[in-house]
Amino acid sequence: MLLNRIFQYLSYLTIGIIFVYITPLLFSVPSWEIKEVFPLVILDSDYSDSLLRTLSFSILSTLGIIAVSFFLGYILKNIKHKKLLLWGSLLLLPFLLGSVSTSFLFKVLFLHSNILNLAFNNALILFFILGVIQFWQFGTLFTYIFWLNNLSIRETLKEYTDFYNFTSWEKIKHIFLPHQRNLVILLSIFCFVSNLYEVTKLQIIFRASKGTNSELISTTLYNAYLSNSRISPDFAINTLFSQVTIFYLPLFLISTLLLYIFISRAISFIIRPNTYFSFVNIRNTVKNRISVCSLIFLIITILLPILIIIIKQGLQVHNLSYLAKTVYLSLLASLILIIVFILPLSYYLRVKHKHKFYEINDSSLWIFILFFLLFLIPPLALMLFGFEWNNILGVKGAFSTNVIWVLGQCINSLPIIGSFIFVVHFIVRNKELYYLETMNANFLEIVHWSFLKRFRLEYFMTFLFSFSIIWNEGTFNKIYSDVIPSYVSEILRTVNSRNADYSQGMMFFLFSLFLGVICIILWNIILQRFFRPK
Amino acid sequence: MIQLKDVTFYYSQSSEIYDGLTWNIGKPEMGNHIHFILSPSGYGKSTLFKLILKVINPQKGIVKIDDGARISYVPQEPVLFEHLSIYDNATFFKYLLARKKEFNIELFNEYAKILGLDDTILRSKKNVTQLSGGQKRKLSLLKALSLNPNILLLDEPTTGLDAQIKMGLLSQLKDLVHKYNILVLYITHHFEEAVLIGDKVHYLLKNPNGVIANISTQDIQDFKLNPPCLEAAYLVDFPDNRIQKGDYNGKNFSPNELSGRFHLRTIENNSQLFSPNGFPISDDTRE
Amino acid sequence: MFRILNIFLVLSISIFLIGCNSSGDGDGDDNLTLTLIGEDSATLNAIGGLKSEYEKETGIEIEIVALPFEEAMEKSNQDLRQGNGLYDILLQYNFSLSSYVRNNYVHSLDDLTRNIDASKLEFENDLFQADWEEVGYYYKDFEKPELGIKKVGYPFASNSMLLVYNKDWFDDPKYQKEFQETYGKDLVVPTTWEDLKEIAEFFTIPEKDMYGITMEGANGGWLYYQWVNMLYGIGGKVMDKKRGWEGDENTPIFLNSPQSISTMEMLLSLKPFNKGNFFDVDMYNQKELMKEGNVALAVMWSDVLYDLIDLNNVESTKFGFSTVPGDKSMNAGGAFFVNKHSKHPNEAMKFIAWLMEENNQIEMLKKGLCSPRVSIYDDPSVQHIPYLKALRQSLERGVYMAEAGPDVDVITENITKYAQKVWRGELLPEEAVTQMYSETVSERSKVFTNF
Repeated sequence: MLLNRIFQYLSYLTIGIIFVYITPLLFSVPSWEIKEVFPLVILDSDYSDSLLRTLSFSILSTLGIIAVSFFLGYILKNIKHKKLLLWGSLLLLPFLLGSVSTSFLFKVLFLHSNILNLAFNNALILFFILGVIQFWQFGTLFTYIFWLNNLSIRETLKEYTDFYNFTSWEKIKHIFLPHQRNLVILLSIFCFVSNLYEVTKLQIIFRASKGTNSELISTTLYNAYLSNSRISPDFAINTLFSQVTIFYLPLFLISTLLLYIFISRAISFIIRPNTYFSFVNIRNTVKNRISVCSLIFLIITILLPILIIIIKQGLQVHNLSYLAKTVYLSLLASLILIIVFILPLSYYLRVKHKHKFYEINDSSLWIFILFFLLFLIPPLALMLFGFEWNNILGVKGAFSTNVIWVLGQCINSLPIIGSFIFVVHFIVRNKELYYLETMNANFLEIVHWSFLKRFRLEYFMTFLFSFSIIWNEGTFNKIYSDVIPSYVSEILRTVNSRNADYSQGMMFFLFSLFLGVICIILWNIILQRFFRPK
Repeated sequence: MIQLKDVTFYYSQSSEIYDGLTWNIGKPEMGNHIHFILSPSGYGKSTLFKLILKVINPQKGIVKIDDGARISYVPQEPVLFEHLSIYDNATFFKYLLARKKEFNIELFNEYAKILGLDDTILRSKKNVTQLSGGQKRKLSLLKALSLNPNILLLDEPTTGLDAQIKMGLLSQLKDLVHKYNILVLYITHHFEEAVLIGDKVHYLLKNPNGVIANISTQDIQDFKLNPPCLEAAYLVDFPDNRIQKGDYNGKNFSPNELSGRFHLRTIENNSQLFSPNGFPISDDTRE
Repeated sequence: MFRILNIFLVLSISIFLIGCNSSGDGDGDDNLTLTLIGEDSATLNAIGGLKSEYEKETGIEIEIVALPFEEAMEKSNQDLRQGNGLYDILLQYNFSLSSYVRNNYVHSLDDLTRNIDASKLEFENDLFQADWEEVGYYYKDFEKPELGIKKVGYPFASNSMLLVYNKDWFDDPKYQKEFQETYGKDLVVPTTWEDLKEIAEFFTIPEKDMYGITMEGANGGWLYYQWVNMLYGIGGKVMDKKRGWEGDENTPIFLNSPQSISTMEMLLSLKPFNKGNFFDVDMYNQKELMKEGNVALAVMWSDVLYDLIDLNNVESTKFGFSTVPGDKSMNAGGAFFVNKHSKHPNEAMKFIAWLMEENNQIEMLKKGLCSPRVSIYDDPSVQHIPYLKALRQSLERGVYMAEAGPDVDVITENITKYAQKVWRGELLPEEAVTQMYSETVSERSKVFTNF
C-alpha cells in the first residue's frame, strides 16, 4: 500500500519539479521592468522585426510542413508491404539526428556553394531554405506518423470507399482527415512551438544577424541578454524575465491557442459534406506505384545529404576522448528523465484515468498540448532559472551545475519523450486494465504485468532516443559547456574557429547517425510485432 | 442476376479460398427475395461479397452482375462519420460525387418511415456515436437504401443487437424488400435469422482440400431437414441422437462409434449418408 | 522490478558522481592548477608553447582553455557572473574591460602587484603605452572620472589590423605594366582607400578566379572592425576621446557624418571585388580565403597572420604586409584579467609576470604573439618575421578605434547591422547612416541609465 502511494506520488513529482524550477520568475517580480517592456518589445525595431519574423516563419512553416507531411502520409498509405514499412522507418532518421547534427550537415553541404550567398542577400530565400531544412528534420517524422496512423484505418472502410467510388478528395475529407484530426492539431502545435525558438540552425548555418534580417526572437533575446549582462547581470536577468513573462509567453500562448483554433476550424470547414476539391482520380495500380516512388524519393532525400558530406569530408576518427566526455551526463539525464519524470506520471494517467487517457482524443489531447507548451519557455530562460536557483540556494561549483543541467534537460526533453511514452502505453487496452482491477491487482502489479513486462524494448528505445535528444540539444549544452562538455560546443569549434576542422565535426556527426540508426533498428523490431500475416 | 463462374480466389497462394466455384442467383420474385449465406466463421463469406462488389478480382473465372443492377452494401461495422450530423450521415450519398445522382429523397423518406427513423432521431443534435446499436444499424441500412438499390448486400447486420431489436429490424427489412422488390444477400452464421425472414439458404461447402468449391442452395425448410453437410447439421441443431457414426462399404452401413463416417436419420427416417469429411455420399453409392 | 530499479539507481548515482568528478570543477584541487581561458588564437598557442616550462619551474599546472572568439567571451562572462571561479586568468579583449571593472569581476593590478618583486615588473616601461592604456587601464572611480585612471591588467597582446597583400601579384611585372597603363600610376601597396579600391578592381577577374579583396562581413564584431578601420582611414570617427573605454552618456557621437557616408559607399563599392560569402566571413574564414592565393588584398587581424606564413620557409611566403590605408591604425588587443573568484590570484599574477619576461616574449613572438613589449621587435632573432615591421608601425601610430565602453555592444551592433543592410542593398548609404546614428544615440542613453 505504502509503495503504491509512493509510486503514485512520484507521478506528481514531474509537475511539481517543473513548477518549482520555473518559480525564480516570482522571485524577480519586484524588479520587473514592466513599464520598460512594452515600449522596448513593440517600438524597438530590432525586437519588433524579430518578433514579426518569428511569428510569420513559425506559422507559415508549420502550415506548410503539416500540409505536405499529411499529403505525403496520405500518398504512402497504400504501402503495406512489410519490407517497405521497415525501410520507411528511415524517415525517422533526421529527427533522431537532432538540431545540431542537422545544422552541421547542412553547413557542410552548403559550404562553397552559392546557396548561402543567396540566402544572406535575401531573407525570404534564407527562411525558405530554413523551412525546407525544418521539413527535412521534422516533416519526415510527421509524414511517418501520419502514414502509420493511416495504416490503422480498418480495411473494411477502404473497401467501402472503393465500392462506393469515393474520390480522393472525399476519402481525405471523410476518412483520413477526421481520423488524423487530433494528430494534425498536436503535431501542428509541436511544430509551431519548435519553430518559435529555432536558434541552432540559424546560428550554425546562417549566422543570423540583424543586418541580414535573419534573427528570430530567440537570437535577439539571447544577444540582448549577453549585452545587458555586460552592464549588470541582475539587469540582464530581470529584463529577460520581464520580457518573457509579461510579453512573449502570453503572446506565444495566445498564438498557439489561435493556431489551435484555426486548425480545428479549418479541419471542420474542410470536412463539411458540401466542400469539394477536384483531384485527378488515379487507378489503384498507379497509386501503388506513386506511393512506392514517393517513399523511395523521401528516403533518397534523407540519405543523399548524409552521403554527400561523408564523401566530401571523409571519415576520420580521432580524439575519441572528446566524444566520451560528452556522453555520460546525457546518459544520466536520460535515465532520470524516463524513470523519475515520465514513467510514474504516465502509469498514473494511464491506469487511474484510463477512461479518458487511452488514446489521443479530445480529453487527452490537452495533456499533450500542455506538455508541448513547455516549449514556449525559451531555452535561455529555462537555463537562467537554473542559475537563479544556484543564487537562491547559494550553491556554486560543478555539482550544482550538474544538477541544474540535468533538471533543465529533463524539462526540455519532457514533451517529446513523455508524449512518446504516453502513446506507447495506449497500446495496453482498457479491457485489460479493468480486468486486472476487478481481479484486485494493485497499482504496482498492474504496472508490472501490463507495462514493464510488455514494453522493455520500447523503454530501451526511448532511453536511446532521449539520450540522442539531450546529446544533440543546442542551447543548454552550449551554455554549460565549460562545466559539462557538449556535442554542440565541439561542433561549433569545428566550424567556427581558428583550427576549423570539419573532419572532427564529422566524427560527432557520425556518432549521432549511429545512435539514430540503432534507434531505427530497435523501432523496426518493435514494429514487426504488429505485422499480421496475410 | 448474380453469376459466379469457375471462380478461383486466394489472398496468398498457400491459402486458397475459392476453387472453381460456380454459383447463380436469379432475379427476386415471390419467395426468392432474401438469400442467406451461411457457414461457420472464417469460410470466406465476406470474401464472396467483396468479389460480388468487385472490390477484389478473382484469379480465375468471372463474376457477372446483370446490367442495370444497382448494388448497395451494408458492412458488418456501420460506417458512420462522427464529423457529420445524423441526418447528413443518413443522406450521405447525396454529397458523394459518384453516387449523388442515384440518391432518391422520396424513397429515402419512405425507407426512413419504414425503419422507424423519424425526424426526432434524424434531425436530433446528437452525434452518431451517441446512438444506440440498433439505431446505428438502421441508419447504416437507410443510408444504403437511399441509393434505390435492387441488390442489397448485408454483412451480419444484426451483430451485437439484443433479441427484441434484432427481431424488429429483421421484420422491417422483410417488409421493405418485398415492397420494393429488392434482392438481399445476407451473411450470417445464425440460422434462426434465416428462419425468421429468409427465402433461400446458400451454404458454403468445402472440398476435401479445405477450399470452397461449391455452394448449396436450398429452401429454409429443406435446409433444416436435409442439411448439406455435418457442420450444417450442427448449425440447424440437428438432434444428436439422429446422427450415427459407422462404416459404409458402398452397400451396407454398419454403426461404429469409432468410424470416421456418419449416418444421418431424418424425422421421416429418410436417411442420408455422410462421408468422413461430413459431405453426403451420392445416391449412386448407396444401397 | 525493484531489483531493476535498484540497479538503475545505483548506476545513476555512480555515473553522476563520476561526472561531477570529471567535469570542470571550480572548487579547487590539491594540486595547484591555474586555468586560463581565451580565444583560440596564435596568442594562446604561443602561451601554450611555454606552459610546460613554467610547470617544470614552479610545479604549478597550467590548463589552457582555447575557444572560438565568441564562445571564449561568453564563457568568460558567464563564469564571472556566476562567480564559480572556473577560470583564474581570462584573456579578454578591450571591449570587456569596462564591464569587468564596473561589475567588480576582476582584480586590479594595484591589488596584485603588491606581492611581486619590482624587478619582475620592469617590463611596464617597455610596453606600447597607448595600446596598454587602451586594453588594460580604466577609471579609478568610474563615477568620478576626474580622479584619473588606474591599471587593471597587463596586455597579453597588442593587436592591430594590417593590410595583407598578394606579393606575387604586386611584384609581377606583367600586372605592374597593365596597372600603369590602366590607371596611370604605379602598382604599389595602397595608402588610401581610393587606391585600395582601384587595385581591388584591377585584380578582380572572375573568369580567372581572381579577386581584389576579401572582407569580414560576419556578425559578432567582425564587420564592425573592418568598418571602423575604413572610417578612421577616411578621416571619420565615432567619438572624440582618447581611449575606447572612455565616455559617458554626454559624450557626443559622430556617426552621422559625411565620412560615415563615404565609408558605407566605400564598403559597397568593394562588393563587386569581394571574395567569399560576405556575411559568413569572420577572421578565420578570411584567413582561409587568403590562403587560397587568389585574392589581392585583405585587412586582417595581426594575431591571425602567423597562420598565413611558414616561419621555417619565409622566402616562400606569398604575402606582403603593410599598415592599413589612411594615417591611423587601431590599438587593440586584450589584457590578462585575474578573476576575483580565483583561488590563486597571486600565483596567477606571478605567471603573468613570468610571461611578460623578455625571453618568453621573444619565444612567443616567434609563435605568433603580437607582443605588447616594444623592445622585443628589435630583437635580431625575430627580424625574419615578415609582418613584424608593419605591425610595429601600426602600433606606433595606433589610436583608439574600437569602442570599449559600456555602450560597446550598442555601437558595434548598430554599425554591423546597417553596414550589412547597405551591402544587401536594403538601404542607401545616407539612409543607413542616418538610421544608424539615431538608433545608436537612443540606445546609448538607455545603457547608461541602467547602470
